Amino acid sequence: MKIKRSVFILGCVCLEVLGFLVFLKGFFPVKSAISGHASFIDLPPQPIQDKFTQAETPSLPVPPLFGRMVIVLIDALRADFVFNTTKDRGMPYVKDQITKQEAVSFVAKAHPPTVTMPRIKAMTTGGIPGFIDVVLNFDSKSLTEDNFITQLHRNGKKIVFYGDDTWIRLFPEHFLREDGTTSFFVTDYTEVDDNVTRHLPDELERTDWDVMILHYLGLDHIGHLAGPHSPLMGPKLKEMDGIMEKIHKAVIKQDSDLELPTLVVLCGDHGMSDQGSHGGSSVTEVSTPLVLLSSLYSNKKGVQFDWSTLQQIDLAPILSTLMGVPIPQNSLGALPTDVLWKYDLRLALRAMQLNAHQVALVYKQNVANYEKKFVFIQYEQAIKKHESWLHKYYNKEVALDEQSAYYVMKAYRDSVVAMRDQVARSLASYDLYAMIIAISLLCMVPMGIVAALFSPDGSSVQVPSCGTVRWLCVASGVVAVAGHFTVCTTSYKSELLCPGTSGIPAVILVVVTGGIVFTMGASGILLLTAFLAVVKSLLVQMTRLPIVTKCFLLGNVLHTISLLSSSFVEEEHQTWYFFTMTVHMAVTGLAIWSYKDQLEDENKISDAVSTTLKDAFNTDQTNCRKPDQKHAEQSGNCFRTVVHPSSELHEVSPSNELHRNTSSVSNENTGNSRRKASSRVNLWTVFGMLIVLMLCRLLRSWNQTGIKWADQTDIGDWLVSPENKLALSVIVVVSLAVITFLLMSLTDDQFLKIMVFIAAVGIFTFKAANGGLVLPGIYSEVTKGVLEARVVYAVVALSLLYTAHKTVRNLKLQPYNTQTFLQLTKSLLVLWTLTITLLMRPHNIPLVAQILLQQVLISRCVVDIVEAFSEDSSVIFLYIWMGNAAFFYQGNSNSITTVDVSAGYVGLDGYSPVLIGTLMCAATYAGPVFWFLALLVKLTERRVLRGKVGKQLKESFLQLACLLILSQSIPNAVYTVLVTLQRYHLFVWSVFSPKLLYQGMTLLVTFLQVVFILMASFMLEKVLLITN
Amino acid sequence: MAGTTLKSSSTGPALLLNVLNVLCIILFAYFTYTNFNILTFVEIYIIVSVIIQVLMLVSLFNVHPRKISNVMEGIICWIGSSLVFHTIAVLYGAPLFSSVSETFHLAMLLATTAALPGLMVLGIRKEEWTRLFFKTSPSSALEISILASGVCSVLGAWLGAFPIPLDWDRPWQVWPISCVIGTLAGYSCGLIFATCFILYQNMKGSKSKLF
Ligand SMILES: [Zn+2]
Ligand SMILES: [Zn+2]
Repeated sequence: MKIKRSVFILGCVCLEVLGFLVFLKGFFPVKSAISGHASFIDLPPQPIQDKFTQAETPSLPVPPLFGRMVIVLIDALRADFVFNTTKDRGMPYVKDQITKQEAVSFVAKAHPPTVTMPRIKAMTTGGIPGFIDVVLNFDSKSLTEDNFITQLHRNGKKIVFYGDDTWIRLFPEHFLREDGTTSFFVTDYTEVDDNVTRHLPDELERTDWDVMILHYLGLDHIGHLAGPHSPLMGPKLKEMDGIMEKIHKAVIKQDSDLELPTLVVLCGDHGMSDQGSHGGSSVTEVSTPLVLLSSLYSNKKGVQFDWSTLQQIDLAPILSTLMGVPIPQNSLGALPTDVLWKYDLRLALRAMQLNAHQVALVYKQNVANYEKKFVFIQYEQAIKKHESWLHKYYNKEVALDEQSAYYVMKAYRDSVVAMRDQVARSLASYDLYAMIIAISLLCMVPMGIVAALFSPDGSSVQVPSCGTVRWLCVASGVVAVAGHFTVCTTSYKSELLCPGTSGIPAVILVVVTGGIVFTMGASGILLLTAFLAVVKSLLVQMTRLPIVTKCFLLGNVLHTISLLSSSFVEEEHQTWYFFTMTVHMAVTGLAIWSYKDQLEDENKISDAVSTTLKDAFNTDQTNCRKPDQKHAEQSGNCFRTVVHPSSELHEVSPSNELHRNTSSVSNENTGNSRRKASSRVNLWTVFGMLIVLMLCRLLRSWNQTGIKWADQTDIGDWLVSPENKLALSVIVVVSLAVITFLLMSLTDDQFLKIMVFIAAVGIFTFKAANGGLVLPGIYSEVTKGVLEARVVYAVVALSLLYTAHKTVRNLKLQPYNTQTFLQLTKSLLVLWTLTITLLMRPHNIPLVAQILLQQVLISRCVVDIVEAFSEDSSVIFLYIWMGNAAFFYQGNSNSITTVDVSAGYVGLDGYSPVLIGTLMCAATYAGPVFWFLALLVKLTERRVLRGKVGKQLKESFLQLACLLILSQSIPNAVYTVLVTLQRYHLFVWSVFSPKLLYQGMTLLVTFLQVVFILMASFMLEKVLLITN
Repeated sequence: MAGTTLKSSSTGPALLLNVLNVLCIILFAYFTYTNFNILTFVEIYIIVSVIIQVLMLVSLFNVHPRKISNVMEGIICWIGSSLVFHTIAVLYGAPLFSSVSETFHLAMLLATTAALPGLMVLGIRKEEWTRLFFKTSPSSALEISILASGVCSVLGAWLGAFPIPLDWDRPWQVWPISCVIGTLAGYSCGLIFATCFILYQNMKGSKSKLF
């Protein structure tokens, strides 16, 4: 049976995506929150059996301790910013209150991922958000899970809100008055805060609110801009301190007229790493302060500061209890004893009991056979202690002191913490069966791709279809289905794949999963036989591969192996920098060597030329393929090298592109290739290579990334710092000029050239409007620059339409004209470059210029030399590697911290998750996609120059698709196995999971690229039909 | 390489030189194991190595010290090659402004192991270098050693960079220690490989003589 190669490749890439999705679903369990809201209706009574006291103590909630509340949430406020206040950095007023024992303070540990939105969710719901919430972070729909903001709202409290508009999206229609600021202007750290503070005097006058929430973003922005040690930090913290002082003093004044006092809460959503970013799980990123201030604690009635630590999610029960509203029903927070001392001792115990009861409900829902678990027994024992304490209390047997109550409270708290840990662990339970199924899917893909790559017939893939294979397929399918339903009856059953556990009706699930598993088993055998069919030719062809291709393969193997080590995952950029540098170094060495050869030849040529020139030209004509006029002078070089005195002409074998290096790599062959290489080398090539090397070095120090050397200063840091804004602007102008020039020289079309110019101007004005650059006289105040950005989008869209129209027209007019394809791919490259220049932060615009220059030089110099030694596959590998390096040049890493969120908002004024996600993805994968398009240009160009567009181009496109999938699927297969084995490893959340998400994202981009290639090759086929 | 015929007269001294070089490295590693300062280690090693090479080449191979101008050219090429190796290390990511001395020591070491033997035996004639390193056709046992040790020491330095990103926080991960170790290890491996190869060739040669 023969399957068309393109169809086969499409099947493989779909299988890969499916496998990866199933793996992600199994690896990142999505916690199913129970809908509904907690209420005071079915509270448990106090644990006392006594008839006489029972009547006296019905199931009442704990009355509120505070009547009003002000929450000041400072984004990225690290614990030591408050608690280690020094002369020039810190919050002296708050610190003073703490040391004077007029406050209650804790270090609140945030759960990773330390990103704003999951943190707000966690603080308000008291739940531990799953890791996958980061992905959903940008899709911030309103929060439907029970949370204390909703509880406050339902219980009639009036809430006002000022600050990060994430809150407004999460809690629509909750606020009496609101004014949101976006974290869009990452470079702005004054406006965002002034927007919040300006409401403060007015609100402090008013008495119609019960809860005021302020979310300040400036500190976080300073962190992202310049890090925690920047000189901007001190004044910003002072400003925040001043605000705290103002609120605290105003509130104390008002408290004298109020029945219940007001609580002022100072907290942070997450910390800040020493580089100023967040997202990970380092100590600096997870420790935030939690300070409670109130007139109730005045006159040294607070709690002494002792660095006591609690979880950030404890905020939900603390604030709910103190404000007298029910604790959100999915909360896993534990009440600390320190906040309860202002209550009467009986009420304090009651509060602990209600907290424990609520957590126990969550515990019961998540843990099977909970009655027998030690943790639950611990909880029951705490209730017993409580009961005996109440006996003493009501019978007034003995004088009850704080100490006796403390033991009961501690018993409650310990049991709550233990129950929470168990629930958290059960939430992190993996769907092992789904993961194994996914891995076997992912392992099937490389086999299929290898079969497609090495199939002897170019246009189709041979899948054995004799009777035995058919029967084997059916048998394996049946075995798979039987195995599947057997596993589903055991305790290893999968939530995702087995009937009965998920919400989907059982019948459908049985049919669907049964069908899938059957297909899987059958296609597994098919792919295996297809793979085995090519193994023999594979082994032969492997040894025949040119040495350069072997080196590239070795590099990919080394990279895959490196993923097994967590530090190499963190420092993956080093791998790619090292490999690409090695390639360029080798090429440069060859270029210099060959170039010098020529110089010598020139001296000797005069006497040798007359006799041998004619012969040489006739023999070696095939070797100089330079139909292009630009390289006309080089064909002269070709003659010269051929008459090199030491080169024996009889060694020259006819150059057949694909099956050239059939013999093992011998002297003869290397010499041959060297001669070919030297025929392409001139002084400019050597010069260009040296520039490529320097650009590689410059680019790697543009954005320092990874973990180990991330704190080293880089060029990007210098450009970003506010005092260098003018320098940055000048550099950006120069870079834009370079980009414009290079893009204009890339395309011949006048219309596109004009469009490029307009877009470049648009990009600069956008960045200036945005406040990132200086453009004196025109932009005095910071705006979103929506109009400017949209102009650029419009230019790109218009050009795209124009290109499409032109291509169709040209194909209709002259289907034989091979230049059409070249123009199409070139236009795509131009438009993509414009788009990413718009999306990049200003300091990365020079980076785009450099990458573009690098690409031009590489396509002119390196490729010629590389291909002298090898065929298409090496060029493809080279470009894929450069794409990987470019991904990290941009400042990306394998940690979520480095995703540039601001790119998602370019040219948008509303909130649209799909658009934002697309833009962010485009910005993140700007480099790899750029090199992919450059590769398409290069491949097309080579065919067009030789007048052989069509069949051969289609072949090489399909080869590209195969290699793209292969370079993803092999690491994916290895990595998923590793993650499965290491799922209880210490670094699973900080290193392995983010990398897994990145792999998934890269796979998605690869999928789109492959689909694009397949469409292109389909188009080529159509054109071929017309031309034939 | 297979087709090379070896002049049996030069085989013995070449082997001796190889063994001496390897012994020198092992002894050095042994003595500096406890008290390790990378800079002095490299400096002393380079001096000792140069002395050994010069003495051996002059006494055993009758390589007459060429005219003074040639020696000068050789020395200039040697320094030049260390500058080239320094540039390469910086391009690979070595810091440009800090630890310049460390980087240059590695470069000098590489120049000594990879370029110096070639400079002494082949001179600065380019055709000779092309013949040996690009066409890989050595004409004597000595040249086999030069080829193998040169290529292997560069390869060793390359491989030596791999452990640097690991988070083990070991003292030898500091730049450029692992690369220095890699260079010397590669150099020794090259020498050992060359020795084995020469012996193997000799055995084959003697057999063919017998029959
Ligand atoms: Zn935040
Ligand atoms: Zn932030």
